[in-house]
Amino acid sequence: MHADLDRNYTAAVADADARGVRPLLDGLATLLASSSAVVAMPVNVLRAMTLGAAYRSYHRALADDVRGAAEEIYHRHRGVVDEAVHPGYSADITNAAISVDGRGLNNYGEITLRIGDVFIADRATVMRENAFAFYERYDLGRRDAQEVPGWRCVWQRRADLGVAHLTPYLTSGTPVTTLPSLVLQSGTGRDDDRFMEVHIFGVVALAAVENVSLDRPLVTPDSQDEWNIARQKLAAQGIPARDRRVP
Amino acid sequence: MTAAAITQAHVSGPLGQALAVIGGETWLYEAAGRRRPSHNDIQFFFNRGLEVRPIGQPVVSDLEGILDEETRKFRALHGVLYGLDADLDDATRSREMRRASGLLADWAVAGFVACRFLRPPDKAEWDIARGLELARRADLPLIVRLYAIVDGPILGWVEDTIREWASKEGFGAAARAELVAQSYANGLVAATANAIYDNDQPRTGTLLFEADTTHWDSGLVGLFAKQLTGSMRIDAGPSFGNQDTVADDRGMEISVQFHMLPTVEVHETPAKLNSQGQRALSVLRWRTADSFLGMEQQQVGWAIRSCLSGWPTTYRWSGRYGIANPNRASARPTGWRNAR
Repeated sequence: MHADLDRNYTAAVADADARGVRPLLDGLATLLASSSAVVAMPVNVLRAMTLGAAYRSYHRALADDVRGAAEEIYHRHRGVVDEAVHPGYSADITNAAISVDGRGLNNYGEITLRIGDVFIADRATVMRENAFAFYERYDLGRRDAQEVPGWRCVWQRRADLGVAHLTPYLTSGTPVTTLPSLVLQSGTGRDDDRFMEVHIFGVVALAAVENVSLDRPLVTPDSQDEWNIARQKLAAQGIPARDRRVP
Repeated sequence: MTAAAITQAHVSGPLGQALAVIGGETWLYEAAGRRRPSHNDIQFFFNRGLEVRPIGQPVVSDLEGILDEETRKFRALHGVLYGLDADLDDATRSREMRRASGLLADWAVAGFVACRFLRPPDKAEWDIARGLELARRADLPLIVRLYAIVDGPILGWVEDTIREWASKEGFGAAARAELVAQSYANGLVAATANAIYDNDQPRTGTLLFEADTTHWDSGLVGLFAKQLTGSMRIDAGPSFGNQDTVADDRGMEISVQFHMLPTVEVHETPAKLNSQGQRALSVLRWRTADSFLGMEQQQVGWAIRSCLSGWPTTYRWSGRYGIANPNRASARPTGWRNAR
């Protein structure tokens, strides 16, 4: 796997040199090296996430085996992509995206959580694009289909993967300021989103969150109240939360 | 065209979402409608939902109603809890208490919140003193009642009474603990605590006890009944074969549930119970036991306690259902039935 990624990376560097965009590639690599995993979610999920053990004691939990079996059924009936990309463990995955500026995928929720490296470094892998695009690119629904190796990597090599994947999009006219949006861009809908997908094995706990931002307007009074509560609960736990709706 | 069948459905009231497999496809329901969930939506639902429960295989048209009720219940519960949360500023706490108070006018929500909330709180975690102060300042008697009960000795007394009774009945330590846990879970503790709280208020009028014959231990209910209503005189009323439910959710202070019965006409119009300034949630649930009030075991009686005077609408109700003169300090059951 490493050798395959090495090959893809080397090819990208050679391509950049040939087209005179090596400085841009270096800039991109620098950004990617310090990038983070971000998880987008609706504000009601964030609010529930911020309520600690004191609140949970007033709720009743499903037994783990019952919960797991039910969850697996919903995943299975959602589509075939997850299972093709994560055979046998798709229900255990939390999807995230690579972000170099902390912004997330707003089409999946108003809220963006930036996850601390240390909490996911040993349980996250990165894919060149989102699972649906990856599935279609390699026609993974086909019988005996196999993905081309070298386009997924461990967390520590995300910069190399990003360089290999994104260099073809660099041109001599690419402004440096647009590099962050080359890595992650929220489109008008989920189908238009462009990003490198991070697959985190297991649940992301609040303790793993470095900061939280509100990236999209909240349209209902209820959701504004939920943000207000979540923001205060986050502050009590020392997690910075900021409102990016206003510059 | 045949409607697609639901093969699995779950609801998370805290998130205000439901998941269902309909016609072989997964759908996510929320207030804004339904949509196909993302991978993370499903993950968040089960891992961040705080509480998820299966809802069998309802018909599709029932899903939104189930979700709405579950959402309101948990919104009320959370509102009550937010009021005690020192992490939140006073304005937020007061606003959430007001929201919860409004939702508690629905007896189903009130019953749910009482059952979940009325348990000994971790006083290191919850700021009850400030919550009480804010609730009183905002004139939210339903919230004050809840906070006062968990802040005072009532729950401890009820627990002790259950343990003592169980001990006399020969329960072992584990069985006693289990009985206490069950009594919290099935609402017996909440109902009894409410009854005691009302007795503590001299001008609080009505006590209604409804038996929960399915879940409550009849021996325990009889014990509490005797302890709480020793002076009450009750005459047997007419026998009814079935039951029906009329819920009152008009008043903010009072929420009443009537289970009534067939041989008389049932009026399902919600009753307005005007407390005339007396603020009290005055509905309690009760089941009779063989040792209680001379009724046969498993017979369920509805008792309206004394002090109905000054509640004109209740007076009319009492007349409609054959309750004796409510201005007297005694009443008789509105009816009773064989539980099975």
